[in-house]
Amino acid sequence: MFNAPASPCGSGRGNHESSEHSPRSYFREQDCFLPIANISCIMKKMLPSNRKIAKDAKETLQECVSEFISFVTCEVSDKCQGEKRKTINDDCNRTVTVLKKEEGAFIMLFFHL
Amino acid sequence: MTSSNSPKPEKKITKNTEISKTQKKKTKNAETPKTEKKKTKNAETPKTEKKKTKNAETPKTEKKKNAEIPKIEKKKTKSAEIPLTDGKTKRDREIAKEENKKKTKKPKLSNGTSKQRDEGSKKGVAEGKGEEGKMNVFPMNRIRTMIKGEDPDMRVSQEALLAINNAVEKFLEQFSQEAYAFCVRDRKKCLSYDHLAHVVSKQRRYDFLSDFVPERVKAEDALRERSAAGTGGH
Repeated sequence: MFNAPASPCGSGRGNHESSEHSPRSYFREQDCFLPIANISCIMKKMLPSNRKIAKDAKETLQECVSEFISFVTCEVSDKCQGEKRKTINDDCNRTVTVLKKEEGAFIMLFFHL
Repeated sequence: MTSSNSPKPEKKITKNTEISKTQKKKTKNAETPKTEKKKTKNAETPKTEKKKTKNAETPKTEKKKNAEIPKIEKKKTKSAEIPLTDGKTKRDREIAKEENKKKTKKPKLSNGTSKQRDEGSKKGVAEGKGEEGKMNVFPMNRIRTMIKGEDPDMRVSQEALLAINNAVEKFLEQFSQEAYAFCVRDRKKCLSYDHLAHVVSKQRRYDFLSDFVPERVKAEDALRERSAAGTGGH
Protein backbone atom coordinates (compact mmCIF):
# COMPACT_ATOMS: atom_id res chain seq x y z
CA MET A 1 0.00 0.00 0.00
CA PHE A 2 2.47 2.62 1.16
CA ASN A 3 5.50 2.89 -1.11
CA ALA A 4 8.75 4.42 0.09
CA PRO A 5 9.65 7.49 -1.98
CA ALA A 6 13.05 7.25 -3.69
CA SER A 7 13.34 10.70 -5.19
CA PRO A 8 16.82 12.18 -5.75
CA CYS A 9 18.14 15.03 -3.63
CA GLY A 10 20.91 17.61 -3.83
CA SER A 11 24.45 16.38 -3.40
CA GLY A 12 25.10 18.39 -0.24
CA ARG A 13 21.88 17.41 1.46
CA GLY A 14 22.30 13.83 0.34
CA ASN A 15 25.71 13.67 1.91
CA HIS A 16 24.44 14.98 5.23
CA GLU A 17 21.51 12.58 5.25
CA SER A 18 23.67 9.64 4.24
CA SER A 19 26.09 10.37 7.06
CA GLU A 20 23.26 10.13 9.56
CA HIS A 21 21.84 6.86 8.24
CA SER A 22 23.44 3.83 6.66
CA PRO A 23 25.32 4.79 3.50
CA ARG A 24 23.73 2.03 1.44
CA SER A 25 20.26 3.45 0.99
CA TYR A 26 18.90 6.96 1.33
CA PHE A 27 15.39 5.89 2.31
CA ARG A 28 14.81 2.78 4.36
CA GLU A 29 11.42 1.48 5.32
CA GLN A 30 12.19 2.30 8.94
CA ASP A 31 12.76 5.93 8.07
CA CYS A 32 9.40 6.27 6.33
CA PHE A 33 7.46 5.46 9.50
CA LEU A 34 7.53 6.85 13.00
CA PRO A 35 8.50 4.42 15.76
CA ILE A 36 5.59 2.14 16.60
CA ALA A 37 6.38 2.19 20.34
CA ASN A 38 5.71 5.92 20.52
CA ILE A 39 2.48 5.49 18.56
CA SER A 40 1.19 2.73 20.81
CA CYS A 41 2.16 4.77 23.88
CA ILE A 42 0.00 7.68 22.74
CA MET A 43 -2.87 5.36 21.85
CA LYS A 44 -2.78 3.74 25.27
CA LYS A 45 -3.04 7.12 26.95
CA MET A 46 -6.37 7.68 25.23
CA LEU A 47 -7.85 4.29 26.15
CA PRO A 48 -8.77 2.78 29.53
CA SER A 49 -6.17 0.54 31.06
CA ASN A 50 -8.18 -2.63 30.46
CA ARG A 51 -8.34 -2.12 26.71
CA LYS A 52 -5.84 -3.68 24.36
CA ILE A 53 -4.69 -2.63 20.90
CA ALA A 54 -4.22 -5.14 18.11
CA LYS A 55 -0.91 -5.21 16.30
CA ASP A 56 -2.55 -4.60 12.94
CA ALA A 57 -4.19 -1.47 14.34
CA LYS A 58 -0.83 -0.11 15.45
CA GLU A 59 0.72 -0.79 12.07
CA THR A 60 -2.25 0.80 10.33
CA LEU A 61 -1.90 3.91 12.44
CA GLN A 62 1.78 3.99 11.62
CA GLU A 63 0.86 4.30 7.95
CA CYS A 64 -1.88 6.82 8.75
CA VAL A 65 0.60 9.05 10.56
CA SER A 66 3.01 8.93 7.63
CA GLU A 67 0.19 9.83 5.29
CA PHE A 68 -0.84 12.66 7.60
CA ILE A 69 2.63 14.19 7.45
CA SER A 70 2.71 13.82 3.67
CA PHE A 71 -0.73 15.40 3.46
CA VAL A 72 0.27 18.44 5.50
CA THR A 73 3.52 18.77 3.58
CA CYS A 74 1.70 18.73 0.24
CA GLU A 75 -0.71 21.43 1.34
CA VAL A 76 2.09 23.62 2.59
CA SER A 77 4.18 22.90 -0.49
CA ASP A 78 1.40 24.03 -2.80
CA LYS A 79 1.08 27.23 -0.83
CA CYS A 80 4.81 27.86 -0.95
CA GLN A 81 4.99 27.24 -4.68
CA GLY A 82 2.09 29.59 -5.21
CA GLU A 83 3.99 32.29 -3.38
CA LYS A 84 7.42 31.15 -4.61
CA ARG A 85 8.79 30.49 -1.15
CA LYS A 86 11.01 27.58 -0.23
CA THR A 87 10.91 27.49 3.55
CA ILE A 88 8.25 25.84 5.70
CA ASN A 89 8.20 28.28 8.57
CA ASP A 90 4.88 29.66 9.68
CA ASP A 91 3.02 28.19 6.75
CA CYS A 92 1.43 25.62 9.02
CA ASN A 93 -1.06 28.31 9.97
CA ARG A 94 -1.90 28.76 6.30
CA THR A 95 -2.59 25.06 6.08
CA VAL A 96 -5.25 25.70 8.70
CA THR A 97 -7.08 28.16 6.48
CA VAL A 98 -6.85 25.85 3.49
CA LEU A 99 -8.10 22.81 5.34
CA LYS A 100 -10.82 24.79 7.09
CA LYS A 101 -12.51 25.29 3.73
CA GLU A 102 -12.34 21.56 3.12
CA GLU A 103 -13.84 20.78 6.53
CA GLY A 104 -10.48 19.83 7.99
CA ALA A 105 -11.47 21.31 11.32
CA PHE A 106 -9.46 18.86 13.42
CA ILE A 107 -6.20 20.30 12.15
CA MET A 108 -7.37 23.70 13.30
CA LEU A 109 -7.54 22.24 16.79
CA PHE A 110 -3.96 21.04 16.56
CA PHE A 111 -2.40 24.42 15.99
CA HIS A 112 -4.64 26.55 18.17
CA LEU A 113 -4.85 24.46 21.33
CA MET B 1 25.79 37.98 -5.44
CA THR B 2 24.75 34.50 -6.53
CA SER B 3 28.09 32.97 -5.58
CA SER B 4 27.96 34.52 -2.13
CA ASN B 5 24.41 33.29 -1.56
CA SER B 6 25.14 29.64 -2.32
CA PRO B 7 27.35 28.71 0.72
CA LYS B 8 24.99 30.23 3.30
CA PRO B 9 22.05 27.79 2.92
CA GLU B 10 24.45 24.87 3.14
CA LYS B 11 25.69 26.05 6.50
CA LYS B 12 22.15 26.53 7.73
CA ILE B 13 21.23 23.04 6.62
CA THR B 14 24.17 21.52 8.48
CA LYS B 15 23.27 23.38 11.65
CA ASN B 16 19.66 22.26 11.48
CA THR B 17 20.68 18.64 11.09
CA GLU B 18 23.10 18.87 14.00
CA ILE B 19 20.46 20.43 16.21
CA SER B 20 18.09 17.62 15.34
CA LYS B 21 20.74 15.06 16.29
CA THR B 22 21.17 16.49 19.77
CA GLN B 23 17.42 16.67 20.20
CA LYS B 24 17.21 13.02 19.25
CA LYS B 25 19.60 12.12 22.03
CA LYS B 26 17.70 14.23 24.50
CA THR B 27 14.42 12.57 23.62
CA LYS B 28 15.93 9.12 24.07
CA ASN B 29 17.54 10.02 27.39
CA ALA B 30 14.38 11.70 28.64
CA GLU B 31 12.01 8.86 27.83
CA THR B 32 13.47 6.10 30.03
CA PRO B 33 13.36 7.85 33.45
CA LYS B 34 9.82 9.04 32.81
CA THR B 35 8.57 5.53 32.16
CA GLU B 36 10.36 4.27 35.26
CA LYS B 37 8.97 6.94 37.53
CA LYS B 38 5.42 6.50 36.20
CA LYS B 39 4.32 10.00 36.99
CA THR B 40 0.68 10.66 37.75
CA LYS B 41 -1.24 13.33 35.90
CA ASN B 42 -2.30 16.39 37.87
CA ALA B 43 -5.65 18.02 37.19
CA GLU B 44 -5.04 21.58 36.09
CA THR B 45 -7.15 23.76 33.84
CA PRO B 46 -5.01 26.16 31.78
CA LYS B 47 -6.50 29.55 31.09
CA THR B 48 -7.10 30.86 27.60
CA GLU B 49 -5.62 34.23 28.50
CA LYS B 50 -2.29 32.65 29.36
CA LYS B 51 -2.30 30.85 26.04
CA LYS B 52 -2.89 34.08 24.19
CA THR B 53 -0.03 35.83 25.93
CA LYS B 54 2.24 32.88 25.20
CA ASN B 55 1.27 32.85 21.55
CA ALA B 56 2.11 36.53 21.37
CA GLU B 57 5.47 36.02 23.05
CA THR B 58 6.76 33.16 20.89
CA PRO B 59 7.27 35.11 17.63
CA LYS B 60 9.32 37.70 19.51
CA THR B 61 11.67 35.04 20.83
CA GLU B 62 11.90 33.56 17.36
CA LYS B 63 12.87 36.90 15.91
CA LYS B 64 15.54 37.33 18.55
CA LYS B 65 16.91 33.91 17.73
CA ASN B 66 17.03 34.77 14.06
CA ALA B 67 18.91 37.97 14.88
CA GLU B 68 21.41 36.14 17.07
CA ILE B 69 22.23 33.42 14.57
CA PRO B 70 24.36 35.45 12.11
CA LYS B 71 26.48 36.92 14.91
CA ILE B 72 27.27 33.51 16.31
CA GLU B 73 28.04 32.28 12.82
CA LYS B 74 30.69 34.94 12.41
CA LYS B 75 32.25 34.09 15.76
CA LYS B 76 32.26 30.41 14.95
CA THR B 77 34.07 30.92 11.69
CA LYS B 78 36.81 32.83 13.49
CA SER B 79 37.18 30.59 16.54
CA ALA B 80 38.20 26.91 16.72
CA GLU B 81 35.95 23.84 16.59
CA ILE B 82 35.56 23.24 20.33
CA PRO B 83 33.79 26.53 21.18
CA LEU B 84 31.53 25.91 18.20
CA THR B 85 30.17 22.76 19.81
CA ASP B 86 29.79 24.58 23.12
CA GLY B 87 27.72 27.28 21.48
CA LYS B 88 25.49 24.70 19.83
CA THR B 89 24.89 22.85 23.08
CA LYS B 90 23.91 26.10 24.76
CA ARG B 91 21.41 26.82 21.99
CA ASP B 92 19.96 23.35 22.29
CA ARG B 93 19.57 23.74 26.04
CA GLU B 94 17.70 27.01 25.61
CA ILE B 95 15.44 25.43 23.00
CA ALA B 96 14.80 22.46 25.28
CA LYS B 97 13.88 24.73 28.19
CA GLU B 98 11.40 26.65 26.08
CA GLU B 99 9.93 23.42 24.79
CA ASN B 100 9.49 22.15 28.33
CA LYS B 101 7.74 25.34 29.35
CA LYS B 102 5.40 25.16 26.39
CA LYS B 103 4.59 21.50 26.82
CA THR B 104 3.85 21.64 30.54
CA LYS B 105 1.08 24.08 29.78
CA LYS B 106 -0.41 22.18 26.86
CA PRO B 107 -3.65 20.41 27.82
CA LYS B 108 -4.36 16.77 27.08
CA LEU B 109 -7.51 14.72 27.23
CA SER B 110 -8.09 12.67 30.37
CA ASN B 111 -9.25 9.07 30.61
CA GLY B 112 -12.98 8.57 31.13
CA THR B 113 -16.11 7.89 29.13
CA SER B 114 -16.22 8.61 25.43
CA LYS B 115 -18.82 11.34 25.87
CA GLN B 116 -16.66 13.27 28.28
CA ARG B 117 -13.75 12.97 25.89
CA ASP B 118 -15.74 14.30 22.99
CA GLU B 119 -16.90 17.24 25.05
CA GLY B 120 -13.35 17.88 26.20
CA SER B 121 -11.95 17.82 22.70
CA LYS B 122 -14.63 20.14 21.39
CA LYS B 123 -14.33 22.71 24.13
CA GLY B 124 -10.58 22.54 24.23
CA VAL B 125 -10.60 22.22 28.00
CA ALA B 126 -8.62 19.31 29.39
CA GLU B 127 -6.39 18.28 32.23
CA GLY B 128 -2.82 19.42 32.13
CA LYS B 129 0.24 17.27 32.50
CA GLY B 130 2.43 17.09 35.56
CA GLU B 131 5.06 19.63 36.45
CA GLU B 132 7.61 18.31 33.99
CA GLY B 133 6.44 18.19 30.38
CA LYS B 134 7.61 15.58 27.93
CA MET B 135 10.03 16.25 25.15
CA ASN B 136 8.99 15.67 21.57
CA VAL B 137 7.27 12.33 21.28
CA PHE B 138 8.66 11.50 17.84
CA PRO B 139 12.25 11.82 16.64
CA MET B 140 12.67 15.12 14.81
CA ASN B 141 15.10 13.78 12.25
CA ARG B 142 12.65 11.07 11.24
CA ILE B 143 9.94 13.63 10.55
CA ARG B 144 12.37 15.76 8.60
CA THR B 145 13.31 12.76 6.48
CA MET B 146 9.66 12.04 5.73
CA ILE B 147 9.01 15.64 4.72
CA LYS B 148 12.06 15.70 2.48
CA GLY B 149 10.88 12.45 0.93
CA GLU B 150 7.69 14.21 -0.07
CA ASP B 151 9.39 17.26 -1.57
CA PRO B 152 13.21 17.19 -1.69
CA ASP B 153 13.57 20.88 -2.49
CA MET B 154 11.58 21.97 0.54
CA ARG B 155 13.52 23.45 3.44
CA VAL B 156 12.05 22.87 6.87
CA SER B 157 12.61 25.16 9.84
CA GLN B 158 12.81 23.97 13.41
CA GLU B 159 9.52 25.58 14.39
CA ALA B 160 7.71 23.77 11.61
CA LEU B 161 9.09 20.43 12.78
CA LEU B 162 7.88 21.16 16.29
CA ALA B 163 4.44 22.14 15.01
CA ILE B 164 4.13 19.00 12.90
CA ASN B 165 5.37 16.86 15.78
CA ASN B 166 2.63 18.23 18.02
CA ALA B 167 0.03 17.98 15.27
CA VAL B 168 0.82 14.30 14.73
CA GLU B 169 0.48 13.65 18.44
CA LYS B 170 -2.92 15.35 18.55
CA PHE B 171 -3.98 13.52 15.41
CA LEU B 172 -3.14 10.18 16.98
CA GLU B 173 -4.98 11.03 20.18
CA GLN B 174 -8.14 12.06 18.41
CA PHE B 175 -8.06 9.17 15.96
CA SER B 176 -7.59 6.55 18.67
CA GLN B 177 -10.30 8.19 20.75
CA GLU B 178 -12.86 7.97 17.94
CA ALA B 179 -11.78 4.42 17.15
CA TYR B 180 -12.32 3.55 20.80
CA ALA B 181 -15.90 4.82 20.56
CA PHE B 182 -16.61 2.29 17.81
CA CYS B 183 -14.80 -0.36 19.83
CA VAL B 184 -17.23 0.26 22.69
CA ARG B 185 -20.19 -0.11 20.36
CA ASP B 186 -18.95 -3.51 19.23
CA ARG B 187 -18.40 -4.36 22.92
CA LYS B 188 -14.95 -5.78 22.34
CA LYS B 189 -11.87 -5.58 24.50
CA CYS B 190 -9.31 -5.17 21.73
CA LEU B 191 -9.06 -2.19 19.39
CA SER B 192 -8.55 -3.64 15.92
CA TYR B 193 -8.29 -2.66 12.28
CA ASP B 194 -12.05 -2.76 11.67
CA HIS B 195 -12.63 0.05 14.15
CA LEU B 196 -10.03 2.24 12.48
CA ALA B 197 -11.51 1.53 9.05
CA HIS B 198 -14.95 2.38 10.38
CA VAL B 199 -13.72 5.75 11.66
CA VAL B 200 -12.16 6.57 8.31
CA SER B 201 -15.29 5.66 6.37
CA LYS B 202 -17.67 7.52 8.69
CA GLN B 203 -15.75 10.72 9.33
CA ARG B 204 -15.24 13.04 6.40
CA ARG B 205 -12.20 14.70 7.92
CA TYR B 206 -10.28 11.46 7.48
CA ASP B 207 -10.95 11.19 3.74
CA PHE B 208 -7.26 11.50 2.98
CA LEU B 209 -6.76 8.14 4.70
CA SER B 210 -9.47 6.32 2.75
CA ASP B 211 -6.93 4.89 0.31
CA PHE B 212 -4.77 3.52 3.12
CA VAL B 213 -7.45 2.16 5.46
CA PRO B 214 -10.30 0.75 3.36
CA GLU B 215 -13.16 -1.19 4.86
CA ARG B 216 -12.62 -4.93 4.70
CA VAL B 217 -14.83 -6.62 2.11
CA LYS B 218 -15.37 -10.30 1.41
CA ALA B 219 -13.69 -11.64 -1.69
CA GLU B 220 -17.04 -12.67 -3.18
CA ASP B 221 -18.41 -9.13 -2.99
CA ALA B 222 -15.22 -7.69 -4.41
CA LEU B 223 -15.30 -10.09 -7.34
CA ARG B 224 -18.93 -9.26 -8.01
CA GLU B 225 -18.21 -5.55 -8.09
CA ARG B 226 -15.27 -6.16 -10.37
CA SER B 227 -17.28 -8.27 -12.78
CA ALA B 228 -20.11 -5.74 -12.74
CA ALA B 229 -17.73 -2.87 -13.49
CA GLY B 230 -16.11 -4.91 -16.25
CA THR B 231 -12.49 -5.62 -17.04
CA GLY B 232 -11.82 -1.93 -17.56
CA GLY B 233 -12.72 -1.09 -13.97
CA HIS B 234 -10.45 0.04 -11.12
